[in-house]
Amino acid sequence: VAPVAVVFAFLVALTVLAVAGSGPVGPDRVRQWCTVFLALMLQALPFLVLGTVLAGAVSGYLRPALVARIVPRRTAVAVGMAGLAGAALPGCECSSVPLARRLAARGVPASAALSFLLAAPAVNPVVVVATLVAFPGRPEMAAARWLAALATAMTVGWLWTRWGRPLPPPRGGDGASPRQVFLHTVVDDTSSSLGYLAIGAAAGATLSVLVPRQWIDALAGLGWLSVLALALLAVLLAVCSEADAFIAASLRSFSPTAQLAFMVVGPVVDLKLIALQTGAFGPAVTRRLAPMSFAVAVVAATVVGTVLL
Amino acid sequence: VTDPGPYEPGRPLPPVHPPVHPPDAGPWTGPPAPAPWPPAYGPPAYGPPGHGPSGYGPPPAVPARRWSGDPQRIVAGWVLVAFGIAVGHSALTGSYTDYVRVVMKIPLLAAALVLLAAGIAGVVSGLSRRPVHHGDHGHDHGRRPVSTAVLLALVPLLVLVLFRPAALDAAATERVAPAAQPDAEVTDEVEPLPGRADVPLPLSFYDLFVRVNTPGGPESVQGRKLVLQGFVAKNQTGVPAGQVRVGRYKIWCCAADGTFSSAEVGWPAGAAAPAPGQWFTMTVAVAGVRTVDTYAVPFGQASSVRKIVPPEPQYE
Repeated sequence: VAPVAVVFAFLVALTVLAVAGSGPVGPDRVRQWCTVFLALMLQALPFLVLGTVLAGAVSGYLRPALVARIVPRRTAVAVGMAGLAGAALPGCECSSVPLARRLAARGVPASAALSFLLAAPAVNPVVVVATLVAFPGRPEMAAARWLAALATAMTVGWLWTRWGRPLPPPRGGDGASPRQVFLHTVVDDTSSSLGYLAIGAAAGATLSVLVPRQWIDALAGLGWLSVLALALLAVLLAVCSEADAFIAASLRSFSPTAQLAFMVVGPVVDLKLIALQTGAFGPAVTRRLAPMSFAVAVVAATVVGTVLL
Repeated sequence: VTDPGPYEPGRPLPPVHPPVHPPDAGPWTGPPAPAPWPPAYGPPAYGPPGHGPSGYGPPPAVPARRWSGDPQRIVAGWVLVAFGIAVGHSALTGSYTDYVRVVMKIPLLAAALVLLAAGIAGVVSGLSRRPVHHGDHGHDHGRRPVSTAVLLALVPLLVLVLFRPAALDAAATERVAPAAQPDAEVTDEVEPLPGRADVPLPLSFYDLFVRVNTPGGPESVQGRKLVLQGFVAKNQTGVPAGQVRVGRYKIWCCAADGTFSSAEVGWPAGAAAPAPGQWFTMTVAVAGVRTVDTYAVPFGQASSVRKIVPPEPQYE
């Protein structure tokens, strides 16, 4: 009953603000918020469904014996392989979270599963092409992004083998036959991910509506701090990894390294992703994973940007 | 009862056999307790005290009629079905273009179909009885409380169905100014505009904005007649008298990254009033650029303006 009350109270509050609010929470802003909120949900939905269907297939039909045969015995090698395997999933961050969670449940080491989770949204061919299109005449941008993203994913994976913690077993997805496990995984993962995605989209929409773009321009004059500023912006805006190259390209008052940091941090940590990870792995893992990915991504972007750009 | 044989000294006596009682009455638990005195008030119990052919057995085991479905999966299934219907409807009617790009139609339809199929299958599976686990006392497998996360998915669903928010429009223009500015490192000149100089050229607000913010760009549009489609911004601060800020949103991925690019258009006398939010198609002769904050904004005089209904999609 309590969740229903929360949902209901939220909608009532939204309606009241839309009718009687003023200033930053007035009717215009509430309408904008609703539009941006739905936009984030609808943009993520097909990728989320792709991810949960693949997760169901992994859960139902991928035998742990096969996993043991494919995945290298040494975890460090497995992490590197998982990072490269991310190139095969043409989705964005929403598809990789459910998939990585079910892979981990089928016997893939936690650090390798996380390396796959972090690499997949940024190193796949679709994102590389999008980056090439967004920076015409500057292919080194796409190359730098690919390298920095892969380096981030693998480094976090290796750090996780040393300082990580095991991923909790996923809830739901029980069943007596592979077909039933497949179906139950799709239903359970999609429904719970949709709920957590709604939290992330609501947070992203709130910041997108409340933070004026003029602030962003003001950040450009901060020198090397602008790298950190754009990295934080990537966390707050929660845009899709397939679109963030275009936004980075439009932030032309920033240095190329800062633009690179925006594109490397966005796919590994943002509000939407934090919400999805909390839903999939629990708050204890997310508290450790998100700051670690952020720090590694900023360092990787700075190093690669300084060398290549 | 077997005969123990003749008595031998030292051998323990056989246990006292309980009185003969019906075989279906269960193990002997001692003599019946004496009736309480004074007897309980009420009608006397008539008929045999028990069940079975002898009238003394235990009551027959009634099969548990308790429902053994999975409420969590049924709720999740219904939420998925509702989501699938709402998203599919949005994709088919075209209202999705207010939130995401046009190319998302097929992915959204596919996702809606998967949601519908998975949701229906989930409800059916949740309603069917699951195998009963024998041997674990009081431990109920698989019966989970209804998850909060599933119900949070109702928020976007209800926002879509009840509010049906429109595309980013004139009211939102106060927040977004394109965060772009001439890049000193870019040295390549812009290409000249295509077509003959005296024929009005259709151009998007975003392309115009990028062009005038590139070195050599303002000169390439100077004096050209352009056909622009956009709406009148609500935020008209800083616009010189006689001119109107008109523009349109561009999205890369979804409305969350919408950026508003605009031009300041001298309004022809006698044309329809530039009410905020009203869409126009206009032929504008570009006169130059003006610097607003840190970026260049083109301005010019419109020779003709015409009211139009908002195009589909509303974003560039």
